[in-house]
Amino acid sequence: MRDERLIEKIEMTGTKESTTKKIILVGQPNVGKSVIFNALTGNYVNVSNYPGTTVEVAKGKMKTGGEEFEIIDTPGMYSLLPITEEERVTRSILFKDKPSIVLHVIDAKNLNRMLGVTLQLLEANLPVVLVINIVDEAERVGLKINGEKLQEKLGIPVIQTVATERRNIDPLKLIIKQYKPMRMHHNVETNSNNLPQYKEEIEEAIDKLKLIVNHKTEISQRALALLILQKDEEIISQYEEDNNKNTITNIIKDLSEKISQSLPYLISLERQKKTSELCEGVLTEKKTAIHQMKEKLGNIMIGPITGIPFLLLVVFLLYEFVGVFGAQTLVDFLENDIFGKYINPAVTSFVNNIIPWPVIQDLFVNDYGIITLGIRYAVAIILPIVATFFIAFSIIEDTGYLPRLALLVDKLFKRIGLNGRAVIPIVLGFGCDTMAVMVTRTLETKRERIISTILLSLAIPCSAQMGVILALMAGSPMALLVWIVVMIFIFLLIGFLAAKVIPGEKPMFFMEIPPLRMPKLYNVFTKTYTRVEWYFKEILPLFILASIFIWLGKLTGLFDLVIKILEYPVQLLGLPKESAVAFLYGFFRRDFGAAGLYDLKSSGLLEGIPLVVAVTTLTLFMPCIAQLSMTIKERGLKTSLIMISFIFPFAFIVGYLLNVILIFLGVSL
Amino acid sequence: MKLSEIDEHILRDLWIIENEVSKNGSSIEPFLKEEYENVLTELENLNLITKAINSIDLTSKGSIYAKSIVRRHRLAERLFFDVFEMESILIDEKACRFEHIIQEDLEVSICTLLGHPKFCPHGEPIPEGKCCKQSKWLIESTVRPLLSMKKGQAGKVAYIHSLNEKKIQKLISMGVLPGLEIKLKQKQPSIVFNIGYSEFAVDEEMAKDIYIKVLQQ
Ligand SMILES: Nc1nc2c(ncn2[C@@H]2O[C@H](COP(=O)(O)OP(=O)(O)OP(=O)(O)O)[C@@H](O)[C@H]2O)c(=O)[nH]1
Repeated sequence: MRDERLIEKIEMTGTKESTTKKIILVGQPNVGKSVIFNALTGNYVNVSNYPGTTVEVAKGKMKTGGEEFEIIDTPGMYSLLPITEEERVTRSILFKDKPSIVLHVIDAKNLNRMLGVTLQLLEANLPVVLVINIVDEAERVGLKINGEKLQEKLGIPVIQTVATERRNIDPLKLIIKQYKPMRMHHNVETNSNNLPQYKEEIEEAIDKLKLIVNHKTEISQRALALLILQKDEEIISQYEEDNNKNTITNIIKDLSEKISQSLPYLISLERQKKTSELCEGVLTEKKTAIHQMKEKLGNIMIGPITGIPFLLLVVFLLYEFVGVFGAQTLVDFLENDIFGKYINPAVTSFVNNIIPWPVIQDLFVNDYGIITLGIRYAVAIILPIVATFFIAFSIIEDTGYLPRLALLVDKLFKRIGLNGRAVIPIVLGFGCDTMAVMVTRTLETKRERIISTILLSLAIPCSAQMGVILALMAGSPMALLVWIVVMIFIFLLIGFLAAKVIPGEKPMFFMEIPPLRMPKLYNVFTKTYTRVEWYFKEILPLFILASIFIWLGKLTGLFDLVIKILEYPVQLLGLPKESAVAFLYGFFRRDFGAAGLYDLKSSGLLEGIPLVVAVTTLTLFMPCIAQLSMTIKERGLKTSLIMISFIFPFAFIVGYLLNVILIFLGVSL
Repeated sequence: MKLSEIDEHILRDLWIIENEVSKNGSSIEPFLKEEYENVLTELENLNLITKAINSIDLTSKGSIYAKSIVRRHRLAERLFFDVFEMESILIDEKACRFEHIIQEDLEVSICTLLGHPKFCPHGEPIPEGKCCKQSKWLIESTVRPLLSMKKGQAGKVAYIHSLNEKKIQKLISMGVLPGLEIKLKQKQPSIVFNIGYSEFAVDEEMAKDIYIKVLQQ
């Protein structure tokens, strides 16, 4: 029945595309766009209590009443006049994708602040439906919103939802299905009375600009003119041809001579006035007691005196969960019991029985086989560590602790050329550096993106590697301490130097602090699942590939040659020459190398100073091939090559110095 | 020395032409007309200006005097705008009258009350006075920079002023706009404030351009 109707439509209109209407979700960061996207589509995208976590644009399909819609989730946007890269992305989707409906999602608690963007969207002549989300929290603080009245005032559909409970999601679907655009082009241009009217001088300038901005898009001339007046380079460049450039410059210059205040400021003031008018009679406040517990806990997290102890507590719990439970208990169980007792012997005897040639046997089993080495490392050592880390990270992320951490470390991060916002990629780097490099995209300046990528590559061990390292040093807390001190020192030193050397804008810090929220089990679970899945898709092939390379290398003798060569620098660091193998693996993946060291330690070849030196050197390596390719993708080949040619020699030099210093000091570990 | 309103206006305009002329593009031409003849001669006698055929220049004494009128004018504008919340079209005219009756001690009080503002509501710089250098935030300062507020103090955003457009844009995106209620939650290690039901953290660089009208506790 449903399919038939679809086919009918396709036949009538000829193409399939015109039957799927596009619906774009926009709104400020952290208002619940992703949750609504999931509720509408049934897909999973990353939901987190951290502003700005939707880095990529997510697309999904929604079927309702036999009609199919394409839903697009966009990165958070504070205004149509973009500051960050993500805002630019969102705007260009809005302006170019010809949406059938734009769902503007706002936080009910901040109606007054967020309606400004609604007005901008309406000015641009977009087909807006206003979704007032997180109504539950608003109710808890005693806010009531009269949706019908607002609907009447704005002249667009308005609905109040609690996305996390699916409250009013079905009515929202109905609105989408029945939506008919109410606004027509000329309506906006002549400026109907529910949109802001600007100062006379500004309106005059708008009228002049309207002659230039022709109808290249569906976007209203008025909105384009306003953006041009606010010196939006991107929009201006679209109309620069012929003599327009001069005309535009002149109009802007003229206006700024008449008005000496900043135009974005004046325009926002005007919009704010309109917003306050809209809120009148719509918003009723009844002061209720704020949540004492949450308030107190929040204060502890960000207080100048209590913040650091709290952070240490979090790190300690993280260590107990990931470092002890994941990296020791679980790894032990999987490695020794499951693989050691069952899988490895069984697979080895099976393979040896059916394949008579030892050369081929070695490909699958024995010391470096795909199954006994590649898969064993991936499943028994890496999986439990990565999974426990991502569980912990998802919980931390959902509570809203990360933005609080950001403000705590901002001053320190400024010293190394970053700002508090960079805690996200850095903390995520402890999970997976590859993912973290991708997330550096959310940083504002190019300079910050480069510095954070260097630090991630150099000084932030990913969870897999960290797990192995913790296991390696389980017996010697002094060794662990030396390693931690050296890593922190290098992180700060390199950051400090990079900030001195790399030119560019100094970062400014501003961040919304979302309310503390109880993590939702389902959310934590799905998020961990998608992350671990992503991780495995990314790394398992690498592990298998590495096994094959090693096998090939051994077969051709090339491997032995490389190891022979590597033995020299390795011995220079005061390490047993057998560790050369581990370093060779380390070029594939740092944790792979570290796991190699683990084998050496188990056989009693590596301890004391050499152990610390080996681990430190390996930590400083580029994390893995996946991270390298992500770095090239995000930062470009040239920058990446410069980074690599710094990182590897640097790692060896630090290793060498550390060895010399520790011996000189006569430290016994 | 007490000058008439006309005298003071001429001095003020001359000062603006000399010091900020590039912005306003006005010239001294109107003052070369005959009707000003007497006044100008009087000012010259007082050693405040020097006159030549096609030029009028302030003497250093005149310049100091004129600058203080400009300062009083713009302070008056700020006062009407921030404290009495008058419409911005009205304030220029009102300030034109008010500037002449402000005496030095009153000027210091107003400046302190307004939190030693650096710019008038139209965005023109306010010449710095002695009291600004000491930059004391008295308890009775009604308008003051966010940074001078105490932890836990609340108020309404009076205005933001910065020459950095990007910064203004960021502040706007956080909802730091005149009239909205704001509460300073902490100052260390970062500045945290509540606006509406949202909470924001910023660094000093961002916070220093926010001016608050403090509410009486
Ligand atoms: N109490 C409550 N919390 C909600 C509601 N909707 C979303 N949340 C929570 O708000 C937080 C942010 O949700 P997201 O969907 O990630 O927000 P977003 O708008 O996609 O944010 P970005 O991806 O950062 O742009 C999460 O912790 C959600 O659980 C709601 O209706 N009520």
